[in-house]
Amino acid sequence: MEPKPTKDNFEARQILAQISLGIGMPHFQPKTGFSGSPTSSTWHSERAKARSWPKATNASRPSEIKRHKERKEKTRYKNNNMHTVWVRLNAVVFFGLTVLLCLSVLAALSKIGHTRYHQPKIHKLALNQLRSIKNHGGVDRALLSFDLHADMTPAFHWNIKQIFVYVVASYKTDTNPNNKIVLWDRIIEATDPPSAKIIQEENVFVKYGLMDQGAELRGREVQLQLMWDHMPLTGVLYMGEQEKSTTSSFTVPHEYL
Amino acid sequence: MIDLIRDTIDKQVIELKKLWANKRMLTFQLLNLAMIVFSALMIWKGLMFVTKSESPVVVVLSGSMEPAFQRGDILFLNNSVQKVYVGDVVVFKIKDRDIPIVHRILKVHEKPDGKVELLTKGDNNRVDDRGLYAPGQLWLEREDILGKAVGTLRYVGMVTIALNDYPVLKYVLVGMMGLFVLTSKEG
Amino acid sequence: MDYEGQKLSENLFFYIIILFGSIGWVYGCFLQDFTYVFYSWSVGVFISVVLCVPDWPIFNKHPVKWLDSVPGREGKGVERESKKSK
Repeated sequence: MEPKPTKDNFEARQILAQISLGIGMPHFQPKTGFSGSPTSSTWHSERAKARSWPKATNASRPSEIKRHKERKEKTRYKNNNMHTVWVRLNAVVFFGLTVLLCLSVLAALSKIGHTRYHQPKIHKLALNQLRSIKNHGGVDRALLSFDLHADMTPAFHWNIKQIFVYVVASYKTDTNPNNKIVLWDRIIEATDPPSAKIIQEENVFVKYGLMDQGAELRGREVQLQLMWDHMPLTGVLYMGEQEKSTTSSFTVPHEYL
Repeated sequence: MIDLIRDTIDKQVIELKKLWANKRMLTFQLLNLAMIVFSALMIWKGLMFVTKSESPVVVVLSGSMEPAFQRGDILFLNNSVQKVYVGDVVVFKIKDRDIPIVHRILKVHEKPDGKVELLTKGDNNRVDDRGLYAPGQLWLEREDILGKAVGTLRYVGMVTIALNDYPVLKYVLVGMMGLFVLTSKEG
Repeated sequence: MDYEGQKLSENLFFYIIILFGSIGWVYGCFLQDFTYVFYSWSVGVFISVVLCVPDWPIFNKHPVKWLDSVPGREGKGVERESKKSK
Protein backbone atom coordinates (compact mmCIF):
# COMPACT_ATOMS: atom_id res chain seq x y z
CA MET A 1 0.00 0.00 0.00
CA GLU A 2 1.37 3.35 -0.89
CA PRO A 3 1.53 5.73 2.07
CA LYS A 4 -0.85 8.65 1.83
CA PRO A 5 0.61 12.14 2.19
CA THR A 6 -0.49 12.79 5.73
CA LYS A 7 -0.61 16.22 7.26
CA ASP A 8 2.29 15.37 9.59
CA ASN A 9 4.86 14.33 7.11
CA PHE A 10 3.77 17.00 4.67
CA GLU A 11 4.61 19.81 7.07
CA ALA A 12 7.82 18.16 8.09
CA ARG A 13 8.86 17.87 4.49
CA GLN A 14 7.91 21.46 3.80
CA ILE A 15 10.18 22.61 6.60
CA LEU A 16 12.93 20.31 5.39
CA ALA A 17 12.57 21.68 1.86
CA GLN A 18 12.88 25.27 3.06
CA ILE A 19 15.86 24.51 5.27
CA SER A 20 17.69 22.64 2.55
CA LEU A 21 17.07 25.43 0.05
CA GLY A 22 18.23 27.91 2.65
CA ILE A 23 21.53 26.18 3.28
CA GLY A 24 22.08 25.74 -0.40
CA MET A 25 21.42 22.04 -0.95
CA PRO A 26 18.50 21.93 -3.35
CA HIS A 27 19.00 18.31 -4.17
CA PHE A 28 18.31 17.29 -0.63
CA GLN A 29 14.81 18.55 -0.95
CA PRO A 30 12.76 15.48 -0.25
CA LYS A 31 10.73 14.47 -3.17
CA THR A 32 7.10 15.18 -2.64
CA GLY A 33 4.25 13.81 -4.58
CA PHE A 34 2.17 16.68 -3.42
CA SER A 35 3.48 19.41 -5.67
CA GLY A 36 1.17 22.37 -5.99
CA SER A 37 -2.42 21.74 -6.69
CA PRO A 38 -3.69 18.27 -5.96
CA THR A 39 -6.05 18.51 -8.87
CA SER A 40 -3.30 18.86 -11.45
CA SER A 41 -3.06 15.85 -13.63
CA THR A 42 0.65 15.55 -13.18
CA TRP A 43 0.15 14.71 -9.53
CA HIS A 44 -1.50 11.41 -10.16
CA SER A 45 1.03 10.35 -12.73
CA GLU A 46 3.88 11.25 -10.42
CA ARG A 47 2.39 9.33 -7.56
CA ALA A 48 1.76 6.39 -9.77
CA LYS A 49 5.30 6.45 -11.07
CA ALA A 50 7.24 6.50 -7.84
CA ARG A 51 6.93 5.42 -4.29
CA SER A 52 9.41 7.73 -2.77
CA TRP A 53 8.82 9.46 0.51
CA PRO A 54 11.07 8.26 3.24
CA LYS A 55 8.91 5.59 4.72
CA ALA A 56 10.15 3.56 7.61
CA THR A 57 11.44 0.52 5.89
CA ASN A 58 10.84 -2.72 7.61
CA ALA A 59 13.36 -4.29 5.31
CA SER A 60 16.09 -5.76 7.37
CA ARG A 61 17.67 -7.71 4.61
CA PRO A 62 20.58 -5.89 2.95
CA SER A 63 19.33 -6.62 -0.56
CA GLU A 64 15.98 -5.04 0.13
CA ILE A 65 17.56 -2.00 1.70
CA LYS A 66 19.88 -1.63 -1.28
CA ARG A 67 16.98 -1.88 -3.70
CA HIS A 68 14.97 0.63 -1.72
CA LYS A 69 17.90 3.06 -1.69
CA GLU A 70 18.44 2.68 -5.42
CA ARG A 71 14.80 3.35 -6.11
CA LYS A 72 14.88 6.45 -3.91
CA GLU A 73 18.00 7.72 -5.70
CA LYS A 74 16.58 7.12 -9.13
CA THR A 75 13.21 8.67 -8.52
CA ARG A 76 14.57 11.49 -6.40
CA TYR A 77 16.11 13.17 -9.36
CA LYS A 78 13.60 12.36 -12.02
CA ASN A 79 11.05 14.71 -10.63
CA ASN A 80 13.21 17.65 -9.60
CA ASN A 81 13.21 20.90 -11.48
CA MET A 82 15.98 21.74 -13.87
CA HIS A 83 18.08 24.25 -11.97
CA THR A 84 19.00 27.56 -13.50
CA VAL A 85 22.36 29.24 -13.13
CA TRP A 86 21.02 31.40 -10.32
CA VAL A 87 19.84 28.43 -8.30
CA ARG A 88 23.24 26.81 -8.68
CA LEU A 89 25.07 29.97 -7.73
CA ASN A 90 22.76 30.47 -4.76
CA ALA A 91 23.37 26.88 -3.72
CA VAL A 92 27.16 27.16 -3.89
CA VAL A 93 27.34 30.48 -2.07
CA PHE A 94 24.98 29.58 0.74
CA PHE A 95 26.44 26.16 1.21
CA GLY A 96 29.85 27.80 1.41
CA LEU A 97 28.60 30.19 4.06
CA THR A 98 27.05 27.36 6.02
CA VAL A 99 30.34 25.50 5.95
CA LEU A 100 32.17 28.63 7.09
CA LEU A 101 29.75 28.97 9.98
CA CYS A 102 30.34 25.36 10.97
CA LEU A 103 34.11 25.81 10.81
CA SER A 104 33.91 28.91 12.99
CA VAL A 105 31.73 27.20 15.54
CA LEU A 106 34.01 24.16 15.57
CA ALA A 107 37.00 26.42 16.13
CA ALA A 108 35.22 28.07 19.03
CA LEU A 109 34.26 24.69 20.51
CA SER A 110 37.78 23.37 20.15
CA LYS A 111 38.99 25.94 22.61
CA ILE A 112 36.51 25.40 25.40
CA GLY A 113 38.89 24.24 28.10
CA HIS A 114 41.69 26.57 27.11
CA THR A 115 41.78 28.84 30.14
CA ARG A 116 42.17 25.98 32.54
CA TYR A 117 45.63 25.18 31.32
CA HIS A 118 46.75 28.50 29.91
CA GLN A 119 46.64 31.40 32.31
CA PRO A 120 48.46 34.65 31.71
CA LYS A 121 51.24 35.22 34.19
CA ILE A 122 51.03 38.37 36.23
CA HIS A 123 54.38 39.13 37.64
CA LYS A 124 53.68 42.45 39.25
CA LEU A 125 50.93 44.98 39.64
CA ALA A 126 51.63 47.50 42.36
CA LEU A 127 51.43 51.16 43.14
CA ASN A 128 54.49 53.10 42.19
CA GLN A 129 53.66 56.53 43.49
CA LEU A 130 50.54 58.31 44.63
CA ARG A 131 50.96 61.65 42.94
CA SER A 132 48.11 63.66 44.34
CA ILE A 133 44.79 63.46 46.05
CA LYS A 134 42.61 66.53 45.76
CA ASN A 135 39.01 67.50 46.09
CA HIS A 136 37.36 68.95 42.99
CA GLY A 137 33.81 70.12 43.34
CA GLY A 138 33.02 67.84 46.26
CA VAL A 139 34.60 64.80 44.65
CA ASP A 140 37.86 63.23 45.81
CA ARG A 141 40.27 62.43 43.05
CA ALA A 142 43.56 60.58 43.33
CA LEU A 143 46.17 60.48 40.58
CA LEU A 144 48.81 57.80 40.77
CA SER A 145 51.25 55.74 38.81
CA PHE A 146 51.86 52.04 39.00
CA ASP A 147 54.09 49.24 37.73
CA LEU A 148 52.74 46.43 35.65
CA HIS A 149 54.53 43.32 34.48
CA ALA A 150 52.32 40.74 32.88
CA ASP A 151 52.63 38.13 30.17
CA MET A 152 49.37 37.81 28.29
CA THR A 153 50.54 35.39 25.60
CA PRO A 154 48.88 32.25 27.07
CA ALA A 155 45.48 33.90 26.79
CA PHE A 156 45.60 33.98 23.00
CA HIS A 157 44.41 31.22 20.71
CA TRP A 158 43.10 31.07 17.16
CA ASN A 159 39.59 32.08 18.10
CA ILE A 160 40.63 35.21 19.97
CA LYS A 161 40.47 38.47 18.09
CA GLN A 162 41.78 40.67 20.86
CA ILE A 163 42.25 40.88 24.60
CA PHE A 164 41.19 43.99 26.47
CA VAL A 165 43.39 44.35 29.54
CA TYR A 166 42.48 46.73 32.32
CA VAL A 167 43.53 47.63 35.85
CA VAL A 168 40.70 47.84 38.38
CA ALA A 169 40.87 49.66 41.67
CA SER A 170 38.33 48.53 44.23
CA TYR A 171 37.57 50.02 47.60
CA LYS A 172 34.75 50.43 50.13
CA THR A 173 33.21 53.54 51.51
CA ASP A 174 30.36 54.20 53.89
CA THR A 175 27.98 55.39 51.17
CA ASN A 176 28.99 52.78 48.64
CA PRO A 177 29.95 49.35 49.96
CA ASN A 178 31.45 48.42 46.63
CA ASN A 179 33.32 50.60 44.17
CA LYS A 180 35.24 49.39 41.18
CA ILE A 181 37.01 51.83 38.91
CA VAL A 182 39.05 51.19 35.81
CA LEU A 183 42.27 53.14 36.04
CA TRP A 184 44.03 52.05 32.90
CA ASP A 185 43.30 49.87 29.89
CA ARG A 186 44.98 48.58 26.81
CA ILE A 187 43.89 46.68 23.72
CA ILE A 188 46.12 43.82 22.58
CA GLU A 189 45.16 42.37 19.23
CA ALA A 190 45.88 38.88 18.05
CA THR A 191 47.70 40.28 15.05
CA ASP A 192 50.15 42.26 17.17
CA PRO A 193 53.73 41.02 17.36
CA PRO A 194 54.57 38.74 20.30
CA SER A 195 56.39 41.54 22.08
CA ALA A 196 53.15 43.51 22.31
CA LYS A 197 51.55 40.66 24.20
CA ILE A 198 53.87 41.10 27.12
CA ILE A 199 53.24 44.20 29.20
CA GLN A 200 56.28 45.67 30.91
CA GLU A 201 55.39 49.09 32.20
CA GLU A 202 57.14 51.01 34.95
CA ASN A 203 55.70 54.09 36.55
CA VAL A 204 52.80 54.30 34.13
CA PHE A 205 50.32 57.07 34.76
CA VAL A 206 46.65 56.22 35.14
CA LYS A 207 44.40 57.01 32.20
CA TYR A 208 41.31 57.68 34.26
CA GLY A 209 41.58 59.33 37.64
CA LEU A 210 40.58 57.40 40.72
CA MET A 211 37.47 59.39 41.55
CA ASP A 212 35.00 58.75 44.27
CA GLN A 213 31.35 59.73 43.98
CA GLY A 214 31.74 61.77 47.11
CA ALA A 215 34.63 62.83 49.28
CA GLU A 216 35.28 59.56 51.06
CA LEU A 217 38.42 58.33 49.40
CA ARG A 218 40.90 59.41 52.06
CA GLY A 219 42.05 56.72 54.41
CA ARG A 220 40.58 53.86 52.37
CA GLU A 221 42.39 50.74 51.33
CA VAL A 222 42.42 50.38 47.56
CA GLN A 223 43.11 47.04 45.92
CA LEU A 224 44.61 46.90 42.42
CA GLN A 225 43.64 43.96 40.25
CA LEU A 226 44.33 43.11 36.63
CA MET A 227 41.40 41.87 34.59
CA TRP A 228 41.09 41.03 30.92
CA ASP A 229 38.29 40.38 28.48
CA HIS A 230 38.65 37.82 25.70
CA MET A 231 36.89 38.86 22.53
CA PRO A 232 36.52 35.91 20.22
CA LEU A 233 36.08 35.74 16.47
CA THR A 234 33.02 33.58 16.96
CA GLY A 235 31.29 32.71 20.14
CA VAL A 236 31.20 33.55 23.77
CA LEU A 237 32.98 36.52 25.35
CA TYR A 238 34.60 35.64 28.64
CA MET A 239 36.63 37.39 31.32
CA GLY A 240 39.72 36.51 33.20
CA GLU A 241 41.14 38.10 36.29
CA GLN A 242 44.15 38.08 38.47
CA GLU A 243 43.84 35.87 41.50
CA LYS A 244 42.64 37.87 44.44
CA SER A 245 45.35 36.42 46.63
CA THR A 246 48.12 37.82 44.48
CA THR A 247 46.77 41.37 44.26
CA SER A 248 48.39 44.27 46.04
CA SER A 249 46.75 47.17 47.81
CA PHE A 250 47.67 50.53 49.10
CA THR A 251 46.08 52.94 51.53
CA VAL A 252 45.10 56.43 50.54
CA PRO A 253 46.53 58.98 53.00
CA HIS A 254 44.16 60.86 55.26
CA GLU A 255 45.34 64.26 54.19
CA TYR A 256 45.08 65.88 50.82
CA LEU A 257 48.30 66.01 48.88
CA MET B 1 22.61 40.23 -20.28
CA ILE B 2 19.43 42.26 -20.92
CA ASP B 3 17.91 39.21 -22.57
CA LEU B 4 18.66 37.16 -19.49
CA ILE B 5 16.95 39.68 -17.24
CA ARG B 6 13.97 39.97 -19.58
CA ASP B 7 13.77 36.22 -19.74
CA THR B 8 13.78 35.87 -15.95
CA ILE B 9 11.15 38.58 -15.53
CA ASP B 10 8.93 36.97 -18.16
CA LYS B 11 9.25 33.61 -16.46
CA GLN B 12 8.34 35.09 -13.10
CA VAL B 13 5.36 36.92 -14.59
CA ILE B 14 4.11 33.69 -16.17
CA GLU B 15 4.51 31.89 -12.85
CA LEU B 16 2.58 34.61 -11.07
CA LYS B 17 -0.20 34.52 -13.68
CA LYS B 18 -0.47 30.78 -13.27
CA LEU B 19 -0.59 31.24 -9.53
CA TRP B 20 -3.35 33.80 -9.71
CA ALA B 21 -5.39 31.55 -11.97
CA ASN B 22 -5.29 28.75 -9.47
CA LYS B 23 -6.64 30.20 -6.23
CA ARG B 24 -6.06 27.08 -4.23
CA MET B 25 -2.39 27.05 -5.08
CA LEU B 26 -2.18 30.75 -4.36
CA THR B 27 -3.58 30.22 -0.90
CA PHE B 28 -1.21 27.35 -0.39
CA GLN B 29 1.82 29.40 -1.34
CA LEU B 30 0.67 32.34 0.77
CA LEU B 31 0.31 30.06 3.74
CA ASN B 32 3.77 28.76 2.97
CA LEU B 33 5.12 32.27 3.11
CA ALA B 34 3.20 33.02 6.28
CA MET B 35 4.63 29.92 7.92
CA ILE B 36 8.18 31.05 7.24
CA VAL B 37 7.50 34.54 8.52
CA PHE B 38 5.82 33.30 11.66
CA SER B 39 8.52 30.75 12.41
CA ALA B 40 11.08 33.52 12.29
CA LEU B 41 8.90 35.63 14.57
CA MET B 42 8.53 32.78 17.04
CA ILE B 43 12.26 32.26 17.21
CA TRP B 44 12.71 35.97 17.85
CA LYS B 45 10.08 36.07 20.56
CA GLY B 46 11.53 32.95 22.13
CA LEU B 47 14.95 34.55 22.30
CA MET B 48 13.44 37.67 23.81
CA PHE B 49 11.88 35.55 26.52
CA VAL B 50 14.98 33.54 27.34
CA THR B 51 17.32 36.49 27.52
CA LYS B 52 14.75 38.82 29.15
CA SER B 53 15.88 41.52 26.80
CA GLU B 54 13.82 43.58 24.42
CA SER B 55 16.36 43.13 21.67
CA PRO B 56 18.33 39.95 22.13
CA VAL B 57 20.37 40.40 18.97
CA VAL B 58 21.85 43.75 17.95
CA VAL B 59 24.02 44.93 15.11
CA VAL B 60 27.04 47.08 15.87
CA LEU B 61 26.49 50.36 14.06
CA SER B 62 29.41 52.56 15.03
CA GLY B 63 33.11 52.10 15.24
CA SER B 64 33.46 53.10 18.87
CA MET B 65 34.35 49.59 19.99
CA GLU B 66 36.89 48.86 17.31
CA PRO B 67 38.89 46.78 16.80
CA ALA B 68 36.86 44.32 18.84
CA PHE B 69 33.49 44.91 17.29
CA GLN B 70 33.32 46.35 13.82
CA ARG B 71 30.36 47.83 12.04
CA GLY B 72 28.33 44.89 10.83
CA ASP B 73 29.02 42.41 13.60
CA ILE B 74 26.09 41.04 15.48
CA LEU B 75 26.02 40.68 19.24
CA PHE B 76 23.92 38.31 21.30
CA LEU B 77 22.69 39.87 24.49
CA ASN B 78 21.62 38.46 27.78
CA ASN B 79 19.70 40.59 30.19
CA SER B 80 18.87 37.94 32.74
CA VAL B 81 22.06 38.63 34.70
CA GLN B 82 21.36 40.42 37.92
CA LYS B 83 24.57 42.32 38.37
CA VAL B 84 26.80 43.94 35.86
CA TYR B 85 30.49 44.17 36.59
CA VAL B 86 33.18 46.60 35.66
CA GLY B 87 34.65 45.71 32.29
CA ASP B 88 31.51 44.07 30.91
CA VAL B 89 30.51 44.98 27.39
CA VAL B 90 26.92 46.15 27.64
CA VAL B 91 24.31 47.61 25.36
CA PHE B 92 22.36 50.48 26.82
CA LYS B 93 19.85 53.06 25.73
CA ILE B 94 19.63 56.59 27.02
CA LYS B 95 16.11 57.44 28.17
CA ASP B 96 14.00 58.89 25.39
CA ARG B 97 16.51 58.03 22.73
CA ASP B 98 16.14 55.26 20.17
CA ILE B 99 19.63 54.17 19.45
CA PRO B 100 21.20 51.44 21.56
CA ILE B 101 24.89 51.90 22.24
CA VAL B 102 27.47 49.18 22.79
CA HIS B 103 30.20 50.21 25.22
CA ARG B 104 32.17 48.89 28.15
CA ILE B 105 31.55 49.65 31.81
CA LEU B 106 34.27 51.85 33.24
CA LYS B 107 33.06 52.55 36.76
CA VAL B 108 30.67 50.80 39.12
CA HIS B 109 29.50 52.33 42.40
CA GLU B 110 27.23 50.08 44.36
CA LYS B 111 24.91 51.40 47.06
CA PRO B 112 24.02 49.50 50.25
CA ASP B 113 20.60 48.58 48.82
CA GLY B 114 22.19 46.94 45.78
CA LYS B 115 21.49 49.71 43.28
CA VAL B 116 24.42 50.52 41.05
CA GLU B 117 25.54 53.63 39.27
CA LEU B 118 27.55 53.06 36.15
CA LEU B 119 29.75 54.97 33.80
CA THR B 120 30.54 53.61 30.36
CA LYS B 121 33.09 54.29 27.67
CA GLY B 122 33.74 52.97 24.21
CA ASP B 123 37.09 51.25 23.74
CA ASN B 124 37.95 53.38 20.77
CA ASN B 125 36.75 56.66 22.25
CA ARG B 126 38.99 59.15 23.99
CA VAL B 127 36.55 60.12 26.72
CA ASP B 128 33.83 58.45 28.72
CA ASP B 129 30.18 58.57 27.73
CA ARG B 130 28.99 61.37 30.02
CA GLY B 131 28.67 63.54 26.95
CA LEU B 132 26.21 61.07 25.48
CA TYR B 133 23.94 60.83 28.48
CA ALA B 134 20.88 63.00 28.90
CA PRO B 135 21.64 66.54 30.08
CA GLY B 136 22.27 66.50 33.79
CA GLN B 137 22.62 62.71 33.89
CA LEU B 138 25.91 61.63 35.40
CA TRP B 139 25.42 57.90 35.84
CA LEU B 140 23.58 55.04 34.20
CA GLU B 141 21.38 52.67 36.16
CA ARG B 142 20.77 48.95 35.75
CA GLU B 143 17.44 49.69 34.06
CA ASP B 144 19.13 51.54 31.23
CA ILE B 145 21.09 48.43 30.31
CA LEU B 146 19.48 46.30 27.62
CA GLY B 147 21.83 43.43 28.15
CA LYS B 148 25.35 42.18 28.45
CA ALA B 149 27.08 40.99 25.31
CA VAL B 150 27.70 37.29 25.55
CA GLY B 151 28.47 36.21 22.02
CA THR B 152 29.39 37.56 18.64
CA LEU B 153 29.33 36.70 14.93
CA ARG B 154 31.34 38.73 12.45
CA TYR B 155 29.90 40.60 9.48
CA VAL B 156 26.52 38.88 9.56
CA GLY B 157 24.87 42.20 10.34
CA MET B 158 26.19 43.93 7.23
CA VAL B 159 22.84 43.23 5.60
CA THR B 160 21.05 45.27 8.27
CA ILE B 161 23.44 48.15 7.85
CA ALA B 162 23.02 48.14 4.09
CA LEU B 163 19.24 48.08 4.52
CA ASN B 164 19.45 50.99 6.93
CA ASP B 165 21.60 53.10 4.69
CA TYR B 166 19.61 52.42 1.54
CA PRO B 167 15.97 51.88 2.54
CA VAL B 168 14.94 51.06 -1.01
CA LEU B 169 16.88 47.81 -0.62
CA LYS B 170 14.35 46.72 1.99
CA TYR B 171 11.56 46.69 -0.54
CA VAL B 172 13.73 45.04 -3.15
CA LEU B 173 14.78 42.30 -0.75
CA VAL B 174 11.30 41.58 0.58
CA GLY B 175 9.89 41.66 -2.93
CA MET B 176 12.46 39.19 -4.18
CA MET B 177 12.01 36.86 -1.26
CA GLY B 178 8.25 36.95 -1.61
CA LEU B 179 8.52 36.27 -5.32
CA PHE B 180 10.88 33.41 -4.74
CA VAL B 181 8.65 31.72 -2.18
CA LEU B 182 5.42 32.35 -4.05
CA THR B 183 6.65 31.02 -7.34
CA SER B 184 8.85 28.15 -6.34
CA LYS B 185 7.13 24.85 -6.49
CA GLU B 186 8.58 22.53 -3.96
CA GLY B 187 9.82 19.17 -5.18
CA MET C 1 22.62 21.13 -17.63
CA ASP C 2 20.85 17.82 -17.45
CA TYR C 3 19.80 15.90 -14.40
CA GLU C 4 22.90 13.76 -14.19
CA GLY C 5 25.03 16.86 -14.65
CA GLN C 6 23.14 18.61 -11.88
CA LYS C 7 23.80 15.77 -9.52
CA LEU C 8 27.47 15.75 -10.48
CA SER C 9 27.72 19.51 -10.05
CA GLU C 10 26.16 19.43 -6.61
CA ASN C 11 28.25 16.56 -5.37
CA LEU C 12 31.32 18.31 -6.73
CA PHE C 13 30.84 21.57 -4.91
CA PHE C 14 29.72 19.79 -1.77
CA TYR C 15 32.93 17.81 -1.55
CA ILE C 16 35.23 20.58 -2.77
CA ILE C 17 34.07 23.12 -0.21
CA ILE C 18 34.14 20.62 2.62
CA LEU C 19 37.59 19.38 1.58
CA PHE C 20 39.16 22.82 1.36
CA GLY C 21 37.42 23.92 4.52
CA SER C 22 38.61 20.92 6.50
CA ILE C 23 42.20 21.07 5.30
CA GLY C 24 42.32 24.77 6.14
CA TRP C 25 40.76 24.08 9.50
CA VAL C 26 43.28 21.44 10.48
CA TYR C 27 46.18 23.57 9.29
CA GLY C 28 44.84 26.60 11.14
CA CYS C 29 44.26 24.55 14.28
CA PHE C 30 47.85 23.40 14.20
CA LEU C 31 49.20 26.92 13.72
CA GLN C 32 46.50 28.50 15.95
CA ASP C 33 45.59 31.04 13.32
CA PHE C 34 42.10 31.31 11.84
CA THR C 35 43.22 33.22 8.73
CA TYR C 36 44.40 29.97 7.11
CA VAL C 37 40.94 28.52 7.52
CA PHE C 38 39.40 31.56 5.89
CA TYR C 39 41.77 31.58 2.93
CA SER C 40 41.46 27.89 2.30
CA TRP C 41 37.68 28.16 2.51
CA SER C 42 37.54 31.06 0.05
CA VAL C 43 39.77 29.18 -2.40
CA GLY C 44 37.40 26.24 -2.13
CA VAL C 45 34.34 28.39 -2.77
CA PHE C 46 35.99 30.12 -5.72
CA ILE C 47 36.96 26.82 -7.32
CA SER C 48 33.43 25.50 -6.78
CA VAL C 49 31.87 28.53 -8.36
CA VAL C 50 34.15 28.23 -11.38
CA LEU C 51 33.66 24.48 -11.75
CA CYS C 52 30.04 23.95 -10.82
CA VAL C 53 28.01 27.00 -11.73
CA PRO C 54 28.64 27.53 -15.44
CA ASP C 55 27.25 25.03 -17.90
CA TRP C 56 30.36 23.04 -18.82
CA PRO C 57 30.10 20.23 -21.39
CA ILE C 58 30.76 17.47 -18.83
CA PHE C 59 27.44 18.33 -17.28
CA ASN C 60 25.63 17.69 -20.53
CA LYS C 61 26.67 14.09 -21.14
CA HIS C 62 23.20 12.66 -20.47
CA PRO C 63 20.77 14.95 -22.24
CA VAL C 64 17.12 14.59 -21.41
CA LYS C 65 15.15 12.80 -24.07
CA TRP C 66 12.29 15.14 -24.70
CA LEU C 67 9.27 13.77 -26.50
CA ASP C 68 8.78 14.91 -30.06
CA SER C 69 6.49 17.90 -30.29
CA VAL C 70 3.05 17.24 -31.70
CA PRO C 71 2.50 19.37 -34.78
CA GLY C 72 -0.32 21.87 -34.36
CA ARG C 73 -0.10 22.07 -30.60
CA GLU C 74 2.98 24.30 -30.31
CA GLY C 75 2.78 27.70 -28.69
CA LYS C 76 -0.44 27.06 -26.86
CA GLY C 77 1.06 25.53 -23.77
CA VAL C 78 0.44 28.27 -21.20
CA GLU C 79 -3.05 29.22 -22.26
CA ARG C 80 -4.27 25.68 -22.35
CA GLU C 81 -2.89 24.94 -18.90
CA SER C 82 -4.43 28.00 -17.29
CA LYS C 83 -7.79 27.29 -18.94
CA LYS C 84 -7.64 23.73 -17.69
CA SER C 85 -6.91 24.58 -14.09
CA LYS C 86 -9.65 27.21 -14.01
